[in-house]
Amino acid sequence: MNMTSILKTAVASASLMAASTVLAAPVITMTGTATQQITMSSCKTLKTPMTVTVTFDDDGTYDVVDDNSTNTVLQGTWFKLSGKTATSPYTIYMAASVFAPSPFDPDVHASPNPTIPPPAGTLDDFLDQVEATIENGMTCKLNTKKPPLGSQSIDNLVQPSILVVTNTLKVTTAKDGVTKSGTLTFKTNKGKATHMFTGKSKVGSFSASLTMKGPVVD
Amino acid sequence: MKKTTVFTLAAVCGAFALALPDWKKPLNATYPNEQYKLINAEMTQTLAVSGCKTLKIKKTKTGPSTFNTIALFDNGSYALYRYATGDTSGTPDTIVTGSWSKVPGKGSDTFYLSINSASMVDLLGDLDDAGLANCKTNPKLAAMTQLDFLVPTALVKKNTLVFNIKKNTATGTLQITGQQHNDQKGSLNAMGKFSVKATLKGGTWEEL
Repeated sequence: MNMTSILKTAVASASLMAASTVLAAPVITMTGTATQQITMSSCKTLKTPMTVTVTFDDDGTYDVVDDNSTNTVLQGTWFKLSGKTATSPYTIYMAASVFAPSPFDPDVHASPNPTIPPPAGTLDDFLDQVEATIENGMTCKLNTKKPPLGSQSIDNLVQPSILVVTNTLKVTTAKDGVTKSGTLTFKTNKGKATHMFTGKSKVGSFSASLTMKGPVVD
Repeated sequence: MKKTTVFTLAAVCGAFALALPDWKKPLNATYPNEQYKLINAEMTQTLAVSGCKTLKIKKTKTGPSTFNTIALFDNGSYALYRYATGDTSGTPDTIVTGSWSKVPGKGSDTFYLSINSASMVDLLGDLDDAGLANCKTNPKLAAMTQLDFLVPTALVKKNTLVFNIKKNTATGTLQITGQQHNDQKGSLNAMGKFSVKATLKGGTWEEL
């Protein structure tokens, strides 16, 4: 059975499991303080600390949940690249779910004006939250002198322009051979966003990252 | 059941689904319309798998061509219909779907494309089949049975369609890198790398 078949089986299994209310079991968990960083042209970089729990389940899916708001920040599928021994460092590769409407479905629109909100934790949902943060939580340089006056609004956060460049958890074992700790890194490239900071629509760039360190239980 | 048969069956079912009215569909449902389309674009593709000779599908004067079509719909979604080299059946090997967004420029417009998760699984499944067949053409790897592109390790490096306003032509580029499992040395699940680069050129660009 190749990986595609395995994943398809996993998806089918996940559906069946959901239907029969059998929950996936956690295999690896990590809780710690994460820093979310957002950059946007003409804005001061915003760093937000948050307590986050990452859970890797035996059905091949993972969830990153913000403990303060029980908000699913990101979710997707994972793969563990083991080390040579049980105490060797290992890496978990993660792929955030990407939601996109099908052209073959009726009455569905993609971002920036989706008719169906993307599921919580998908990359699309994450970027929707980034857009809201840029508009409401960042300090940006606005044109306040000459009309047309600027406003802190995003016309279009060009979600397909965002590429995930790093999405891993690297785990090491302490000298006692038992205690494990990890560093989670989620980082995007600089995507495009059209904004109205100067009063006219202008193309800028933005990026988002989430870094976290903490104890790992596997 | 072979993958080809599965795709053929899916295509036949799809054709039936299109031909037969779906009585469950609401009468007032709005289906997306095509907004932009690149038809019969010629694809060149490079698929590199560590330990194997790179698979290249090139445009040649005498060789078979791979024609592909990409349609961008007004609901923000797109469909890329990929055909096998020399395929004239009209049944695509893979349909890649995702969302698109246009960023206008002075001399060219850039259409950024994302690939939804289900499509990525299908695409990599299709590519690792092609990669395995290519690896096995090396007599030393003829017994190879495993080449699995590991979906969570895949990173999209580029996925754009650039429309040159003056020339009225469009060029598509897709680059993906990641890691794979193989049994090149006899034991299963040995790690290696893979990368794919595909370009779409030529064809006809339509704004609908």
